[in-house]
Amino acid sequence: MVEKTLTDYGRLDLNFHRSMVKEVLPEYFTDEYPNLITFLEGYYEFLDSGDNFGALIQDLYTIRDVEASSLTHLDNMFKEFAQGMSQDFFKNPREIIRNFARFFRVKGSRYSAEGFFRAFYGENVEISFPKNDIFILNDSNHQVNDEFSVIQDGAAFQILSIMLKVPLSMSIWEEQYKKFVHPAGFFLSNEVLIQPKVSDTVVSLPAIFDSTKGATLPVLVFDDNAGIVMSDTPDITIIDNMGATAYVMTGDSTNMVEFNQVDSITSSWTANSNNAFGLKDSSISYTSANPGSNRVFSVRMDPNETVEKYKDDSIGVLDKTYRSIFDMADASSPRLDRNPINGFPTDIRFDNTKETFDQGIYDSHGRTWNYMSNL
Amino acid sequence: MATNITSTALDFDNIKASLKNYLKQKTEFADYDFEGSGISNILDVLAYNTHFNGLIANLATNESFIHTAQLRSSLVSHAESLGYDIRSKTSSQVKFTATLNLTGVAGRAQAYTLPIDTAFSGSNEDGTFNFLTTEVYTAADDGTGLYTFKDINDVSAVTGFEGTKITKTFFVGQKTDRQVYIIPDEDIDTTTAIVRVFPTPSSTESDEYTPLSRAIKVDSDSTYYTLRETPNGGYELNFGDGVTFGKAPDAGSKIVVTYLRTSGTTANGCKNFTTETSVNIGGTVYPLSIVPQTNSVGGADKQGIESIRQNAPAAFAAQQRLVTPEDYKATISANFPTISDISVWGGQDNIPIAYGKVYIALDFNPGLTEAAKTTIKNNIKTNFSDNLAVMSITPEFVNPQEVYLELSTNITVNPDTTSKAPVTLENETNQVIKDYFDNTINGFGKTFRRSNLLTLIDGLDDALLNSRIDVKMQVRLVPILNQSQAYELIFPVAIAEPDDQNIIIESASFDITGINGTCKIINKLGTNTLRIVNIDDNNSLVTDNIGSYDAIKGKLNLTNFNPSLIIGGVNFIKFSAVPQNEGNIIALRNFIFKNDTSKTITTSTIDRQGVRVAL
Repeated sequence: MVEKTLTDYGRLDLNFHRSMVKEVLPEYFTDEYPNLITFLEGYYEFLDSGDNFGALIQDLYTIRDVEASSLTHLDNMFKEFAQGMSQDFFKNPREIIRNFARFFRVKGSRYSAEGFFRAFYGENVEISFPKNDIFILNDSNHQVNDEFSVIQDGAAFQILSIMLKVPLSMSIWEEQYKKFVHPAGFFLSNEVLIQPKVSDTVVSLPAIFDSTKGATLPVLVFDDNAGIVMSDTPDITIIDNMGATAYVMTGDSTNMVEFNQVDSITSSWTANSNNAFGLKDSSISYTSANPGSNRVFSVRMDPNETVEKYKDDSIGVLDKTYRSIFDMADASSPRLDRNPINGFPTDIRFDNTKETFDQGIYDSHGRTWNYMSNL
Repeated sequence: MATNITSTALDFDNIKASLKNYLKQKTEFADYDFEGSGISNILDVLAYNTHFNGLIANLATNESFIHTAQLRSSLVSHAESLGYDIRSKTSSQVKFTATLNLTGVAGRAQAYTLPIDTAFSGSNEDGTFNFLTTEVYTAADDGTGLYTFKDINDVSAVTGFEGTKITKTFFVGQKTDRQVYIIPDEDIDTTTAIVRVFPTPSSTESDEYTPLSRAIKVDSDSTYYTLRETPNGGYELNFGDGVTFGKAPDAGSKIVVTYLRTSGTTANGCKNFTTETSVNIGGTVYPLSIVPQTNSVGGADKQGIESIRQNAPAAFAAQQRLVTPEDYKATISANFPTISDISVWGGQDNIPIAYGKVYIALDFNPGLTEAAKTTIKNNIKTNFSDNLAVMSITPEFVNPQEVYLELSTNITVNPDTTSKAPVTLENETNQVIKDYFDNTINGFGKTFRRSNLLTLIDGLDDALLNSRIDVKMQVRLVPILNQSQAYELIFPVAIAEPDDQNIIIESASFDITGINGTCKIINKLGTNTLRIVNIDDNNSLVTDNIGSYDAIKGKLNLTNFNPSLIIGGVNFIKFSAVPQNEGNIIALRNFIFKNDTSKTITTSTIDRQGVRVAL
């Protein structure tokens, strides 16, 4: 734990420690015995040096002051107020110790459980009572085939049971939780909450665009600032904050996108149409499966393949390499690319460094101009 | 308790040497002769000054925390700031069946009353002690002239508390002064204190004040007091100031405090009781007959400083509630001095699981009768768990269960470095093992750690080159003889899985009707099946399947087990099991470790590596 004591509490300094040797000794000592004064000053310096007790005496002024006390002394306060816990356990021990009495007074409550995970582990917890999901005969709240009704199982699903959803393994917190919060006699069950970590490094993800799901809402979007953001609902804030050319399009039944499957031996292909959402150019809009002059996707972004290439790059590097996320998703081997407006091959784009000549590139639209062999 | 704040070395010579070295490093004194008499004397003075100030600084720092304080007064003060009531001396108690036999006596009353302060005397090896009643008991004529005294709950028991009744009187001064009333008596049982305030010195009417710790609501008219220990060991009586915790007695009032001055633990174990209480009817005296239901128990001395250090923070965490097992432990420990150790666990952790219950195992001080233990358990339930626990959670008391460890120790001895005989080292090793059981793993929730014990053994003597311990667990079954029964035995931890080479489960010997020879139970090699074999017939098979063991759950199940005699003159059969992890055995729940000294054996091997020339 790093010493985080602030030094300015808006208080008067209680420590008036300074060398008073010259003031205390008669004035003629200064003239006649300067070495003695130096000697005594050296002695007081010695007291304040190293492991000597000078600092300890100065500590006495603030030894029980939660804000100013050293962490060693704070540890003693933790032993007094926090059932033997060490201040090392906490990110902000000085604030935590002030709240222990409050915490103990409400132990066993939802509030104390939430406070426990915030204070001890810096995590939020979702608390539920499985008894609410138990199927009870003649209870209108529970119907046969109701997915949230379960039969009492003598463990998690019974009256005296508490369910915690925490993004931590139970083995990490179980002992402390039972010691500080859990009412004895209740079953304690947990679910580990797994959530994505927002990072400035793009990591390999198994699925970015779930185009097969036919979802009408985006589940994952790129954001120039935040990186990858996962969302169950369209968030206008996220969209607003996205880069100038990166947008999310909701997939619906009218937005059919064909992802061609190519047989490498026969060079034949099959078109699969799916609802989809993905990146689009801000200057154009999507209208139909045949983009015509309103091309939306030039290359389908294969999640595994695409992200794998960029996983070690920071957002900063990607930003330098590509003009937009659209470009990154559109990255391809140097080739004669089509015109972004009419879809015909027009120019050579060497604006990327990640791909090679020999990889298969599959377009997402049309038949005649999307398959590479036709270029 | 050792201090853990070591800010400075307080040895005078070290201080002087450090001071000298420090000054030598300064250029001004580089050429000084610090051994010269003048400067050496100055250094002596300064070193003493440093030593003294260092001592004071260290002391002040230590006394600032309950965890490091050494003075009782400091601990008391810290504990009070945590809202902890420090236990005073406690009176020993005894319950009597008290009767008055007036059969055939004319003019007897319908009922008689045994007043407060009825005196009894009892004796033990430490002397004779006075016992007094603290409430009124009544007895009604049963129709034959026999009167049995009962309490207000209609229970036929009269309780006497050991001690001498003391009365202290104070007069209240001006309200502007903070009024504190000192009772210079270290032997008060504060639970027996009664505080009455009379409006004037001559008043006969009074208000009875109650301890603040029992307060539910406080307002300016509340009549509460606090009685707290002072630094010199006595007590001081405090009242509210009309705002903070209730009414302050008015100036000129008279305060009368009565309490029992008690002998504490010394008065425990009294068994010979007499009383001079009697009834005079028509000039004839009829004595009160008393029969003690138990010996006197429950007397305790003032709470010790280590107990305060341990219990005050725990009580602070409990906050007068019983939610977690730690709360139960803290509350019971603080209020029942005759309990030496406590283990508490929720029903969710019990075997078998029982939601809505809290299991409590209590280890009592020696000498407590079963009746006294039952009384304490009832007190815990009615006074604490019924009031302070989470509603619908009920306490269940279970007895401590002993699990014995059998340690087979081998030490390797270097004969070149000791004059001790190997057997001496073996005995010393056994003593180390005994001390380890007595001091380190004695009590609930302890863990046997083989490596720790081996470290202690290795450190016993330089001649011990290395050591090894094979560990077995043992539980004991008290079977019903000559009756076919099913039994379940539970070990505290998992048992080793069966293998083809070693027997994992093995019992002590017993007889079975119709079998010519002594039998024992072992597991069939490579299986969990338990079988009975005849020891006297080369371990021939008697019963192929008498049950099985569950390695993971640490459980033995016997079916149709019907021994006719247990060998060895005991009423139990030992069942030994190899633990899954011999290095680490934890006594969960109500298990307590004991050492089976009859099966704890130390052998020695002389190390001859130095002279051996061939394998």
